[in-house]
Amino acid sequence: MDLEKRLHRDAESFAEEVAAFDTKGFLARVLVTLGIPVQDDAPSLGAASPAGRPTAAGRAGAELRAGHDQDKDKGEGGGALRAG
Amino acid sequence: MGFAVWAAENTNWILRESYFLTGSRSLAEDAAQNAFEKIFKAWPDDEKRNTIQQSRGYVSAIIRNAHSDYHKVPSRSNRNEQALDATENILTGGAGDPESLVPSVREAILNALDETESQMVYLVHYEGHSIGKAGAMIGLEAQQPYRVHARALKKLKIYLEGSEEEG
Repeated sequence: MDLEKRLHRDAESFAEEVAAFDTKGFLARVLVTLGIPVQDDAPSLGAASPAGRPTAAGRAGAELRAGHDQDKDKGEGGGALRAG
Repeated sequence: MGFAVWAAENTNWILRESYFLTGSRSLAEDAAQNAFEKIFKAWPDDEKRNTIQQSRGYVSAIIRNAHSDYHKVPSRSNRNEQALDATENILTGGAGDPESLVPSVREAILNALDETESQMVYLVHYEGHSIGKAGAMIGLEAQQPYRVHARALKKLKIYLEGSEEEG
């Protein structure tokens, strides 16, 4: 099959696969893991990935939050989720 | 702009690109989460924050490094996990049928092309950007994007045709 057609067909398949992603839920989980406040109407939250794995961010979360606590004094980082 | 706002505006494409790289939804989320962790860590640094906000290519490199780092940990690359990911791919119709001798187009893009070429093909053919815009997004100038894109397609064609002959 022509390469351009194969690329087009695979891109269509890719678009269908990623359309099912719960991007907002993923973002909420990331922010919670990093210790950033999330709006109350955010979707279901969880610290683990759908596969149930402990996440790298989870392990490093405490360390990162400790580092950012110092930076909040400078007005950078943190902040509530306002878009989505 | 605070980290949370930036994250909200960029999660969609970061997750999509992670999925493109991993071929698995769970691995994509892990890679994207690792990338967010690295970005969050770099955020207080003015220079790094500006680069993150202005250069998609820079963030893409962070995602790719995060994915590579994840697989450097031996316990994560054991056979059971690989089998689970392969099963997930089959169930979800994701990239890469492990039983197939002929590589999928996505596998070919990742195996046959260098990072710039694969980014170019991904942005043009999977994200729908023009060649010029895709080039600008990854820091290419003038006629470079067109040359990179043409070279990438040529390499892909050779790779896929070679694989089909072997298969």
